[in-house]
Amino acid sequence: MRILSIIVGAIFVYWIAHGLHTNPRWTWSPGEGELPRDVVALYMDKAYKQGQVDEAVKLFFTPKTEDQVPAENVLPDGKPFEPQVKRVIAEGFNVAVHYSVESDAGETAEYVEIFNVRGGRITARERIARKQPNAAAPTDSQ
Amino acid sequence: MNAFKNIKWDMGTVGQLVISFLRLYLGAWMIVSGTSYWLHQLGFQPIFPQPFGSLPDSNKMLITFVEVGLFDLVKTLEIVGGVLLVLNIFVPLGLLILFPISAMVFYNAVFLNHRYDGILRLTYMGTACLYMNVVLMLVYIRHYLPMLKFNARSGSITDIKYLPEIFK
Repeated sequence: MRILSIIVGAIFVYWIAHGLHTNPRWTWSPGEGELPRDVVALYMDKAYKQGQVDEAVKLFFTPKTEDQVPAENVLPDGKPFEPQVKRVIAEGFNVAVHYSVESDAGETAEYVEIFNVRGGRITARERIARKQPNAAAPTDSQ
Repeated sequence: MNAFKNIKWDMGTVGQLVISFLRLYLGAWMIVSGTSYWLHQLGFQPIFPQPFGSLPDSNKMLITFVEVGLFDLVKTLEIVGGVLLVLNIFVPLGLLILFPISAMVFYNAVFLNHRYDGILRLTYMGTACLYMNVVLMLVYIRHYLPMLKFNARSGSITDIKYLPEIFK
């Protein structure tokens, strides 16, 4: 009887696993099942470091994402860059990333990007830019 | 086959089948849940992507669990408890291990994700796992009664010699 019970248990394991694996609620996007801060890191790697902005939008944004950064400004100099991350603040659905970028001319710009992440996808992004921080320029929002 | 022919089909047998179903289903569900998490942690594709709640409080709790490493413990205990139930060994212990997890799953579903509709839905595992856990603990209550004694006196360290009896 114990053997039969174990066999039935194994069938249940397969049945439940199959049901959960094929559940249509999953999109199986790369960010699904990841922590919000990891979703943002994956997005930044794809969009900023690799420069694949459109692909990153497809993988990590939703059709209803409220993106306050114009598409032409996602890459500040129009080419891939390595963000120097200074700090990441994550609480629940919200992730704020403070990073700097150095241009070819040697100028440093600082950004704070605030993401809202749900279900492994970015649902909102706001970017606050501060260029030439040494000149104590006023902060403005894009 | 003779074992099946000798089965007497009465309410007691049906009750035993229901209990076995609950034990196996709860155990299997816990095994799948724990295994999926560890597959992801080990770099493999999970059975299902770990949900991190649909409302802020649930999200904060689950993310904190992951970040402080408590989810590793929870998911490991899910597998341990689930295996005990499926193998039908140390079942009262397995149920005891799984009880706080089932209670947290219920709390997360109902109070943090506001899934009040799930309270009466027996197919919603956010609540059903606790119901199954409680029903099974009641069925096995005679194994818990000795530790529920009002006047429990301490024994001696030599009582450890009775440890092999747990395998009987």
